[in-house]
Amino acid sequence: MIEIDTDEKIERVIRKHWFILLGNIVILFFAVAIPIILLFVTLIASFPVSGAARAAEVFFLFAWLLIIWMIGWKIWADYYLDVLVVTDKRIFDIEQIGFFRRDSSSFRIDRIQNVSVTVDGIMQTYFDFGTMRIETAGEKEQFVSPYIAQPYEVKKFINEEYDRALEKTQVVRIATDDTSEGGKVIKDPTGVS
Amino acid sequence: MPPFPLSLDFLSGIGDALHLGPWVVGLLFLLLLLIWGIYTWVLLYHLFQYGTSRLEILKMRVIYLTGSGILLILLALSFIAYLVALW
Repeated sequence: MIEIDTDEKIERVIRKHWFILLGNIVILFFAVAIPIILLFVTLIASFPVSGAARAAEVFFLFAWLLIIWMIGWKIWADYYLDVLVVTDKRIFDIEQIGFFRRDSSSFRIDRIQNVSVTVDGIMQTYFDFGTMRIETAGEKEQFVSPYIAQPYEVKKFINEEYDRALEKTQVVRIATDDTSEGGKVIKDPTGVS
Repeated sequence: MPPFPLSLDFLSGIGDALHLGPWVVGLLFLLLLLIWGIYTWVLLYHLFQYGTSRLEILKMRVIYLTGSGILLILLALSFIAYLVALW
């Protein structure tokens, strides 16, 4: 699970668009279909094949299907674990590369300076996905999330979260003691609670 | 009637080419089981721990293990069928 504070709440989990998976799904489909069709053709064509050779064919077919099953889950894990998690305090940008490499960075929502979206080409426009760039005031100034689904809607959501986070951090002090400005409302100049 | 332009005779040799003998096929079976075991451990206990929701992680584990279980049973049965055919 993602390491968040106990009082922190996950607001939204953003993944890449399913279209990114499509190329791999097509390849896997053919990888499954072709050997099954070949086996089926050899059965229909009634070639003079011994029983042991036929059983060997079936064994290797299932071995191949098990390998394809594992490759499919590897592709799914790569897709599923590449994620942008928006909490009420921070945004986590996590990228899973292979089995054992995981890049994870996070930044506070109230440090966002700009969110921009690029939707490039017919496919991205038609299927509604694109690249989102989040600029922050931190060390790593720009976070790039390619191929995310519904980027404009996500941008709007992040902007709303930013507004909410900013409202929380702006403290309004009311002077109550006699030496103060008599109950005037003073905004905290630092803007930090 | 003209003959079908693509000869399918090459398919008849696939079974014979895969008929590698019980020891080789048995070793391949064991090797595949070993690879599956290591892969499953990495996937279920290393990768899936990073999921964003416990329910999603549980669902994926169940689906993966169910599919793997069915394929492993079919693989084992086909290996037994191969041994029986040889015998």
